[in-house]
Amino acid sequence: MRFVSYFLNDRLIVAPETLVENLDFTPVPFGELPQIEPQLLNSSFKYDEKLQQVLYGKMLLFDELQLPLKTIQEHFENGFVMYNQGVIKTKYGWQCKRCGNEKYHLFASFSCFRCKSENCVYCRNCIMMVRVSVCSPLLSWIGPDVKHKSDHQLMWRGELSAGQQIASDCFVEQVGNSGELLIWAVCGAGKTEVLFHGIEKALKMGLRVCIATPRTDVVLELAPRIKEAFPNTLIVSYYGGSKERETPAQLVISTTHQLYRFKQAFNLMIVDEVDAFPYSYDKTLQHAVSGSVRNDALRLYLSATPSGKMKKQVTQNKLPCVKIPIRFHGFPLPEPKMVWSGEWKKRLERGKLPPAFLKWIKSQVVSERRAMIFVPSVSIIEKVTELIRGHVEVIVDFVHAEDPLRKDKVARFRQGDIQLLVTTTILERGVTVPFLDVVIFGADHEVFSESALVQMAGRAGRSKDDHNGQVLFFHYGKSLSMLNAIKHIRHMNEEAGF
Amino acid sequence: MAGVLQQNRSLYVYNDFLKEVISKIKYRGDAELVKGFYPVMRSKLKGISGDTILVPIPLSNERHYERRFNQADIIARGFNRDVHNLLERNAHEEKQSKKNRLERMKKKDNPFIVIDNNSIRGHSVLLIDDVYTTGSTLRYAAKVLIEAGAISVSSITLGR
Repeated sequence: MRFVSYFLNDRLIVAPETLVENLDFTPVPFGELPQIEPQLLNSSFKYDEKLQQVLYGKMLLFDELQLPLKTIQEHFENGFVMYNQGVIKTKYGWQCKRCGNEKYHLFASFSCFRCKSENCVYCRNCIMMVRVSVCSPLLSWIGPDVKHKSDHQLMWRGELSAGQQIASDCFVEQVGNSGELLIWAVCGAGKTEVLFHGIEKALKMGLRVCIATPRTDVVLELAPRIKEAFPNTLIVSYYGGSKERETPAQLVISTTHQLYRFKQAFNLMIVDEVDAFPYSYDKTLQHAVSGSVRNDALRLYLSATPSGKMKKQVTQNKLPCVKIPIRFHGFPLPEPKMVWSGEWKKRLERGKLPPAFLKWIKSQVVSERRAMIFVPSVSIIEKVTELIRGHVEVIVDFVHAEDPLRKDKVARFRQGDIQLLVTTTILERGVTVPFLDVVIFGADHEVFSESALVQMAGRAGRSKDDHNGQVLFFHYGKSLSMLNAIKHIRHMNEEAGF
Repeated sequence: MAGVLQQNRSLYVYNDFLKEVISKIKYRGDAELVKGFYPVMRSKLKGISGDTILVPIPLSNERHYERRFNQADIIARGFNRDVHNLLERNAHEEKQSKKNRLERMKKKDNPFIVIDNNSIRGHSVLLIDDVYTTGSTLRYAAKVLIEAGAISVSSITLGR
C-alpha cells in the first residue's frame, strides 16, 4: 500500500493514500515512510471492542481484518493501533518482522499493484499465512488490555500419580514467575494431567496461556481434553485451516506455526513435544514462540526426549528440570529387544522378508494382538505391506503423512479393525492404543534417531491392563541410535526405581 | 464469436500438480514461482514474429488490488519482450474459476475493453493467460482486439 505522511501539531501522521483527498501529498510505499511513532492515546475515543479483541497480542495485516480501512486509521490516529513494518531492509538483506526469516533465498519481489513498486519484496517463508511484503504494514494493538473474566474452574477430578504430583507442584509454584522449566516425562507419564493445576492457577491470576506444539495432530488431540477440563474458559485452537480465529481467548492451543501472528501476547507458554520436527529444526518457529510471549513470561517445555542441547543445559544447571521417570500406571517402560534380520534391504529388493521378521509376524497373528510396524521410508511402505499380506490372513494396512485416508486408518486401527499397521515415523508421537506391540523394521536406518526410537518404543505398554507390550528392533547391525535409545529407556527405568 | 482466436497453445496439461503451483501463485501470492516456467516459455516463443504484441489478460481493478499482481502479466514478462497492458476489464464480475462450464459459455456482455486502439491496429497480437479452460475468456479478448483492428490474435497459456 501507499501512504502519505504529514505533520499535524508537530506530530507526524501517516495515512493510506486512499483516505486522504489532499493532492499536495505524494504517496510513497509504506516501507519508504519516515520512522512512525505511535500517536498519543486519546482516552475519550470510543474504540471498537471487536478490533481490540481480534488484534490484542497479535500482528495482523489489513487483509486479515474484516474492517474498513477508515476505522483502522482512526484507531491509529487516536493511539490505539500501531503500524509496524512487515519486511525491513537490513545490512545484509531483508528481514521479515512476522516470522523472523532472514534467509536471502526466502525473499522475492513482484510488481505490486498497491504500492506501484516494480520490486515489492515479500517473505516466502511464512507465505502460507497471507503474504507480507515491504508495503504491507503489520498492525498491532497499543490501546487498553483485554480484560479476561476470572471465574475459571478446573473440572478434572482425576488423581495424579506420585511422579505427576511432583512435576505438577513444581509447575504450579513457578506460575506467575518468569523463566523456564523443563518437564522431562517418559512416554506415557501423563503429561497433560500435569498441566491442569498450573493452568488453573494462571487463568485465575488473569494470565494469558498458550499451549503450543509443532504438530497439528497433537493440537487436535489436546484441545478436546483441555476444553473438557476447563468448561467455563474460552479456549481457542489454532492450526492451519482452523476456523476459530476471531474469538479472543485467554487460553490458546496452537501449532507453533500459527504463533507467527502473535506478538507479546502470553504470560505462560507451554511448548509440548519441544524436540519434535519441525520446531527443533526451524529457527523461525523458535522465533515465533519467543515473539509471542511477554518478556516476563514463564516458559514450560514438555518432552520425553529432550534434545542434546537441552539435556546439556540441564546438567549445567542453566535450565530447571523436573523428571517423571515413571509411567502413570507405575510399571516400567518396555525395553526394546534387538533382533538380527540380516540384509533386509536386499531381501526386500528380491521380494522377500527377513526370516526372523516373518517368524515374528506369524506369532503376532496367533497372539491376536495389534502391532505398529515402523519402516524407515515411504518408498518401501507398500512393498512391506504387500509382502506381509502374502503371509497372513488378518487385516494389514499402511499409513504415511501424505495418505488421504490417514485419519480414517488410524481410527480403524484404534478400533481394532486393522491388526497390523505399517507406518512411517508420523505415528511416533501422541498416539495411544491399548494392547499394542511395536516393531521397527530396519531399526539401523539413519532416519531413526535416538529420540525417534524412544518415542516409538513409548507407544507400547501404555495402559494399566497391558503394561508390558513388546518392542522389537529388527536390524542389520546395531546403530549408535539404537544403543542410546535402549540406554535411555533403561536409565529412566532405573531412575524410577526398577 | 467463433474464429476470432486463430490458435491457442498451452505449455502443460492442467493436472493436479500444475493446479497446485498455479494456486500457490494466485491465491498464496508467491509470484516468484512463475519464474520456474520462464526457460520453457522462452523456447516456445521462437517461432513468433518480433512484430507481434504481447497482451496479458487483465484482472479487474478490485481483483488486482486484492491480489496485488496480475499473474498473466508476470507470465508475459517471462518472454523477455515488451508487454503491453492494452486490455481492461469492464467491471467486477464473478471469478471465472467459480463458475461451471455452462455459466462461462453463456455470458453475453464482453468483459474487455481495448485501452488504445492505435497501438493495436495493423498488428498481430499474442494473448497471455495462466489457464485455458473453455477458452471463452481468450475469445472475448480476441474479439475486442479484432474489432480494434488487430490482423490476427492467437494465445498462449501455461496450462490447459
